[in-house]
Amino acid sequence: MNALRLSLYGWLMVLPAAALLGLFTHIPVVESFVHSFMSTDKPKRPSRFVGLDNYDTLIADPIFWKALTNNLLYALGSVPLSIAIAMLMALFVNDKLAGRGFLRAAYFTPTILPMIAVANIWIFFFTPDYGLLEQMLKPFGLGGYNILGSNNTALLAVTIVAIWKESGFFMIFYLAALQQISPELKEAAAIEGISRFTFFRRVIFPLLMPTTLFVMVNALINAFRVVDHIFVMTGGGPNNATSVLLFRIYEVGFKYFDFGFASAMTVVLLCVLGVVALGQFFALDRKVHYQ
Amino acid sequence: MTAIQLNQLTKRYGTATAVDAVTLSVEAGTMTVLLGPSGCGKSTCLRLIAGLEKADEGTIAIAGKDVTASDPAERGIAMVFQSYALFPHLTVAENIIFGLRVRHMARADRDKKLSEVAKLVGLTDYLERRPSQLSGGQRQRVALARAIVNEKPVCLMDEPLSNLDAQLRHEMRVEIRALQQRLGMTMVYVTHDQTEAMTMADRIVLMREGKIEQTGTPSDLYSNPASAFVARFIGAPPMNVISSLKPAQWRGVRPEHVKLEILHEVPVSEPQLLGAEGIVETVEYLGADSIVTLRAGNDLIASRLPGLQSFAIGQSVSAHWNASHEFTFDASTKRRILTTN
Repeated sequence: MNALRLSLYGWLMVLPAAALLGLFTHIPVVESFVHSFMSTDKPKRPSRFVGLDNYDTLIADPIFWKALTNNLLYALGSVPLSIAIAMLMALFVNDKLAGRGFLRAAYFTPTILPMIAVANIWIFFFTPDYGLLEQMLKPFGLGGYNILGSNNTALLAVTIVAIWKESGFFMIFYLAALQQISPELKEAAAIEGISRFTFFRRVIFPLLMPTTLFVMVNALINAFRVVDHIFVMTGGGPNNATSVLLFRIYEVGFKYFDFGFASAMTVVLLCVLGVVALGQFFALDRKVHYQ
Repeated sequence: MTAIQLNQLTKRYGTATAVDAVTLSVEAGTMTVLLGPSGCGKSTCLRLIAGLEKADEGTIAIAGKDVTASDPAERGIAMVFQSYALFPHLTVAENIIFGLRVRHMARADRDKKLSEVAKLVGLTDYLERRPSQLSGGQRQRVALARAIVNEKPVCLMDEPLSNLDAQLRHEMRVEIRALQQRLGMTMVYVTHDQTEAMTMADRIVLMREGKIEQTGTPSDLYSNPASAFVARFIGAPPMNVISSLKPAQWRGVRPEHVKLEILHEVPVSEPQLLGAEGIVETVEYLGADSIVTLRAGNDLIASRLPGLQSFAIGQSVSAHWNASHEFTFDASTKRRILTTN
């Protein structure tokens, strides 16, 4: 009786969070999965089961493949670089130096800005002729590029914005991890005559591995999830050069109202994210030392 | 031979002087203990010797070479830290040979040294474990092994036993001392625990407020304290210092030299020569002996008496001692006044 009451109590406690998660996360996931096997509801032709038709369309769609490739390139560019920059910034502001508090705040600022605002700032940086970048290049006789408007550079530009936005946030995690490391370790290394670089490679870097794993999972998920700036900066263009999976899903789902096809792509996106997260945990977990 | 020579060594933090013109020479192959209450500058002094802090004034010479401006690694020292400073992601073996490995010592030599040192400190069965899987005493041994594997002539120890329980502290005290003597290391050992200092040291350097209060063998400091501070810091319970005889002179007597007698009349609070009368305030039974403390006017006088004592709290007693056991201190300078007798 008592045990039953206790478990009822527990269920009531988790109910609000579970209800919200279920309503906005789990049910939509299941719905997307179901819809990916159905045709899209139209006024004269109601939705019906079509098997793998939507997936066939997906495989045949060159824009889907373009978006997937773009997304992988975007992840490959933004994840390692934002992690490396975050780690460097954290190492830098963890040392005793004048104006440390100011620097920490400065590094963190991009995180608190909304992505839409960030995108607008960077549009100005990249604008041809009078943008900040152009102004800086003009004295050297360079410039005249339309960075966001060209097939070759648009994806690179939105990747840079993501790195700029994410690094400061990840720095906070590295900074917290660095402060957990006893300063006596550094002194012990100094007495052994170990160079700064060797100390970093053999001691600090391995001790930061749990943080790196956490940050990496988050960075990878964000690379597929946080694409707001693409809407503002390029709208997926030019010629789908900056179209990524989530952008393409939005386009198909809410511009062309092809829910079946959009659902199929959503399922693919979820599978990619799931595989990424699981792979990281299993591959890296054995190499990570948790204290 | 002098292993370490400190000359007018001074270290300041802002306006505070942590180490104030310390001059000290440490003989090779001996164990010197820097002793003192917290904040007396003993740890700073050790860190100056190690090169982890830079001196503001004065010089440090190790093995005859001036190392005042040298990096820690160039000083020929090893160090054991209070928190052991073990690398948590490495095994015991990797921790011990970390320094040898980054200096690219050949694998065969490394392994040979590792097994020797592991045997010496009794870690042979734990080499593959990580520090988190070890007890406090075992971690201490790893730190010790890491310090001695490099075969540096000088070993510095910063309160190495303060994180251990009393039983283990006693064991490690004996072991460290035996190891130091066996290997003929020059050891400088920092502690605030006078028992550690008394039992381990060849020489004790008692510090107070950045200055050396007295240097000497444990028995020197015990039987010939240079000041009231030394007299009260060395020995447990501390020496009784009685201020109510003459205002200019304090009298000191160790608890084991105070004899008590039951008094069948009301105690007089006037001070007496070589004695006092008062009322028993506390009785602590320690097994082999008991500490009976009486209040005589403003002074508390402790007496160490054998076995279980029948004194009761509130009882009137008289205390007395021999003239040969009494010390006198100048009340203003707190220094000892040497009497010729």
